[in-house]
Amino acid sequence: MSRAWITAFILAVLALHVVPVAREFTGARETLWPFLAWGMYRHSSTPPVETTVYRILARTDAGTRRVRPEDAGFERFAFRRFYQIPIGRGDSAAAGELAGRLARRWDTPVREILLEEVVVTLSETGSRGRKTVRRFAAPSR
Amino acid sequence: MIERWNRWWFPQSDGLALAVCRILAAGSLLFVFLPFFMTSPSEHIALIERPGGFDHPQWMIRLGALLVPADSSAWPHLVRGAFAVAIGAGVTTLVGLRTRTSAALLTLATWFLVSHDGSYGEIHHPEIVLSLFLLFLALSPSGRRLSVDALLGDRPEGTTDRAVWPLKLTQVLLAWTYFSNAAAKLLYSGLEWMNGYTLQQSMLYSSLQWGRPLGFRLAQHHDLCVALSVATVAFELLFPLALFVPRSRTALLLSGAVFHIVLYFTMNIGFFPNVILYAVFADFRKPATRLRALRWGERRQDARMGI
Repeated sequence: MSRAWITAFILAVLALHVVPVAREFTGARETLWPFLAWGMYRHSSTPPVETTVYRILARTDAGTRRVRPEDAGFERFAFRRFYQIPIGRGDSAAAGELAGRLARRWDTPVREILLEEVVVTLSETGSRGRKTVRRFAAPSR
Repeated sequence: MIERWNRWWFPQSDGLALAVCRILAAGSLLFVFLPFFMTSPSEHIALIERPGGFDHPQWMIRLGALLVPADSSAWPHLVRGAFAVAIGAGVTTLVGLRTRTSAALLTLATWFLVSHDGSYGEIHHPEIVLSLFLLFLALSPSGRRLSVDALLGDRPEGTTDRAVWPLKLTQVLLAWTYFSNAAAKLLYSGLEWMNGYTLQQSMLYSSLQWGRPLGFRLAQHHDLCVALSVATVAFELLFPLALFVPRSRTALLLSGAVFHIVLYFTMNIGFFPNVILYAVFADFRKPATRLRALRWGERRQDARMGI
């Protein structure tokens, strides 16, 4: 490649990195990999410091066990996107799909999906957690 | 202006630094990122087999879907094939056999795998700069040194002006990732971003979501989170200095390595490809010269002793 072509290439790569950042200020979220905006954690927070996390459990005839991404065969972000978040919002279809998937992978019937919703609040005196459990009966097959 | 540009991007080089970075990039991809950090073949196939199909497919996947329909049973084979190509081309890029072709194949396979993983509604950043660096290897004389190609006699003599721009461009991209991150924080949130609560909030969620007890502990110390927030923004804003002030590099790169290690153990955010690529800032001539001098000294000593 000649210097001119390399220069054009360099400028194109740099421009393609600047565009998503500039576009983000217009409200658009750029998703064209590998040219993404980098301000993933740009928003600030104010007190109270509080968060909600979801844990999924499955009840089989052998007992109740925690469901991790590897149990469902997905990497962690996909597991959160397909199951944790929808089931956390009360999506019983996602719970049913997960139950069916686990039953196939574990080779045992899954009777129920349990969602533990844990709200943790931080204060100057320490942390405080509230846990509620929601149950989703597995569809009969 | 043009002279300055050429001096910065196209200085003469023997290609040693590019070769070392090639080995580090291909080696880390092959032995660390593909097996331990990137989505595995079975996880890719789980995505394909899940009802619903692609959700916001990446451009490379859209191109692929023109040739192979999205609902075709060939997609699992494509993914397995891409892994096989990544491993094969990773090895040949590492050893420098048909280096540029190997790097091109490694780029294609890596880009395909990351794009596929990101075609189901969520795309992530950790592999971006490394993936681009692989492309730069394919477009530059990356097999000029420390390669089978060089051993087999393909090595041109002297120096070249084409072996530095991939390193410089990677330096700029690394600087951009940090600087634009800090700029986004300050432009969106202002100094409020460093109020401590912001980091406490992020750390609390990530530590609980991804099982990082250290993050949960740190999140409970507001003053410490204020200090870490200020340090984060300062590091990100100052990183571009590494481009122009060589004396600042050691401190900035060490800070960067510590920054990413702390992020990993507190929030499970793994940007280790960037840390590997810090090698693009290193001056490999000094150790190489020292090594040569040492060998030369040994040979002279051997000759004196009649060995």
